[in-house]
Formats: sequence, structure tokens, C-alpha cells
Amino acid sequence: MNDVSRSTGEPKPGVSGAPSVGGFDSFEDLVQAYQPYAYSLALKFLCDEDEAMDAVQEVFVRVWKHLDRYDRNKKFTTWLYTIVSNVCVDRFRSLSRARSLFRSDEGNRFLEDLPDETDWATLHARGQLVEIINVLARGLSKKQRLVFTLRDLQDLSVDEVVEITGLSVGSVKTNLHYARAWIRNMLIRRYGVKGEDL
Amino acid sequence: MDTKHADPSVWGKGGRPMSCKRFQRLLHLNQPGEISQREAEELRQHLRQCEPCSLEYRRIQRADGFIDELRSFAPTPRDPNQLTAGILRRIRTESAPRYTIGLVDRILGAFLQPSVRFAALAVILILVSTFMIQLVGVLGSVSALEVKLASGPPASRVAAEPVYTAQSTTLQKSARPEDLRSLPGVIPVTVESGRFTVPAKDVESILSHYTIESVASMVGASALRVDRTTIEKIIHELRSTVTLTFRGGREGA
Repeated sequence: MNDVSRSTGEPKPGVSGAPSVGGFDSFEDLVQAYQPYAYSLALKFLCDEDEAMDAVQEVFVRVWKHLDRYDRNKKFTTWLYTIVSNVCVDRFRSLSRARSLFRSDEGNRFLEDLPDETDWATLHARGQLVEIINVLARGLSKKQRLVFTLRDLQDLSVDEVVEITGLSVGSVKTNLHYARAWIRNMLIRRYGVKGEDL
Repeated sequence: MDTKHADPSVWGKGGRPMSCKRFQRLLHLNQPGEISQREAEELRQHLRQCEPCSLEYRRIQRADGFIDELRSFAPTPRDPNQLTAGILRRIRTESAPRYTIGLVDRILGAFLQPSVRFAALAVILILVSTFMIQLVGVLGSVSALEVKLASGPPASRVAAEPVYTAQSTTLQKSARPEDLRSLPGVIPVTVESGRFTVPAKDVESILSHYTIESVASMVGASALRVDRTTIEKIIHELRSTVTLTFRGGREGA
């Protein structure tokens, strides 16, 4: 935990006193190891690359400042995701105001924004997956969006979601139920009915 | 179809039995760890018997295929090294000691608040007003001092103004004490113990306007009941004893 700027060539910031996590030699190593996790959650929640990049920077600044509060008996990613969630929720408020991402029951209006293409390799190549998530989650409340992102898009357990969000198990399941019902309904109406062979 | 729902009174919206509502919730919480084994078994039993719920379950599975694709999507930043460098730079900026800059920034920053701006403006106005009032007072004092300096010696030295005095023993012998009081209304002359006292500034006026003959009336000849010869003697004595003195001050020639 002595050199946080090994690859940047910039002067070393004062890092003495910062505890090491996961046996990393430097904070830079820790950032490089965990920034993909933070970025993935931030992008899937915020659905905006620039916002996600800024959020990840803010996340690791908070990690740096509050590393002494990290409980070594718990998974580092759980603590990291907690910070990412807090940062993203804060940013989501202003972002949603700017984009008018208010909850609406007019699901049909959102369906038109989903692409016709269902070949995921093609959608991935076109960079449309983030846009699909954005359209699907547009009708969710902030809590539903967060719980759905953590549970279904980041594949975290219910217990982890409970710990990260601070919600009760019942609240997590209720929010998850409504979020899935909304998103599955949209997917079924957009793609499922079209190729109905059930 | 679940035969338990044959009674139309227990059917809900969408042609589905009301008891399906409970399973609707379980259908959407069908991932591991979300429902108990007992609930999972009840759901399986229900799906075998309820065709609408079974159809919805299959649609959900189809939709979950899309969600699985989104779950496996692991986005990475366009330039991870640039992101890392940005993080470290930001940490360095926020960790740098900023006592001096921070203090100045905080003070200047405080003036961005309207209340602080108005308070500062009020303080400045009060200070300027006080300075102006004091400046006017000082200028007034200087002006008064200049007037005093220009108007002559202070009041304490007025007592030493020059006066001419003259002595006449004849006058002292021939006049009764009650007649030798000052002669008001004629000229500013006082007579005490046979000694005449006249302010120096009035001498020229006396010499210009009064003759020897008028002196008799000046000194109150009728009151003294003396003849002309005696008056001439008195005048002679007065002339010969004229002395310049300073009333209340030192005597000089």
C-alpha cells in the first residue's frame, strides 16, 4: 500500500496508514482488480457510460477515504457494491430528472424503443445492450431498479442484496417481484408473443 | 385446470382463479434462495394443474432467456488504464493538504452566499460611515483651532491687557472717598485711591475727543467741589505720573 501511481508515472500520494485489502501491494492494484465490478454495476444501473466512469471514480475515492471502515470478515465486493449503490442512487436522482426517467405505466411507449433484433451477439456488437437495459428499467422505481440490477444483472444472492441495500428480505423480494413482473411483461410483449411457440 | 377453481365466485381477473394470485408472486420469485422448498413444491403442483399459470411460467422462462443474456453481459470501461489513472489523480487531489488554499477558498466561498454578502456590505457601510463622521469631527476641530490661533491670546491672558494709570495726591486729598468711585458713562476710567486707570486702547480716543477743560467733567469736578486751579494741579500731577501697566500682569514702562 505504498505506491498507488505505479503505472501513471505521477507522484505518489500520501498513502501511508491505508490498510491493505486482499493482499494487494498497492491501492492501484486494488483499483485495477475491482474497477470492472464497480463499472459493470454502475453502467447497468445508470445506463450511461460517462456517468458510470465518473461514478466509479467517486466510488474509489470513497473506498480510499473509508478503507479503515471495511470489515475484513466480509467480502470486499459486498462493501464495494454498497458504495457503488450509494453513489449511483445519488447520481440517478439528478440523471433521472435530466432524462425524465419517471415511472410510467405507458409500457407500450417503451416497447417501441426495444430493437427488433434478438441476436445477442449482434446487439452486443452494436453496443445496444445498455440501451435495452435502460428501456426495460425505465418504468421501475429507484429501489426496484437497484434490487433488479443487483440480483438479476449482477447475479448477487438475496442475502448480499439485503446487505448492500440495507433493505429487509421482504422488501427486497417485493421490489424484485414487481421489477421482474414489469420487465418480463415487457419482454414477453415485445418478443415472446411474436415468436409464440409455447 | 385446477378443479378447485370450478366455482366462478373464486375466479379473478383474466379468467384466472383468485388463488393464482399467490402463485403469481411465486412465479416471479422462482430463482434459487427466493422461496422455500415447500413453496417451490406448491408452485410445481399448481403449475401441473393450472394451465394459465403454466403458460405464463413458460413465457417467463422465455423472457428470462433475455435477462440471462443481460446478466452475462460484463461491460468494461473503454480505457481501463485511463480510468485507473483518473481515480488515482482524484485521490491525490482530494488527499493533498489544503489548509492554506482551503481556508482562503472557504472564506471566498462564503461570500457566494447571499446572506454573507449582505452582511459584509452592511459592515463595510458602517465602517465607511464611521470614518466619514470622524473625519468631519477632526476637520471641525482643526478649523476651531485655526480660528483660536488667528483670534489672539487665550482668555487667561486678557487680564494682562495694557492700561495707563496716573496718580494725583491733590485729587486724593480734596475728594471724599464716596466721590472717588468710578465715573460711569463718561469714559472707561476708574479712580481708586487717587489713581486713574485707563485702558491703553482708549487713550488715543481720550486724547482725540477730550480737552483739558473737559477733564473736569470727566473726573466729576462738580461732584468733587474743587476750583479750576485745583483741577489744573490735579491734571499736572496726573500727567507727571502716567505709567503703563498690565492689568493683572507684570508692570512695564
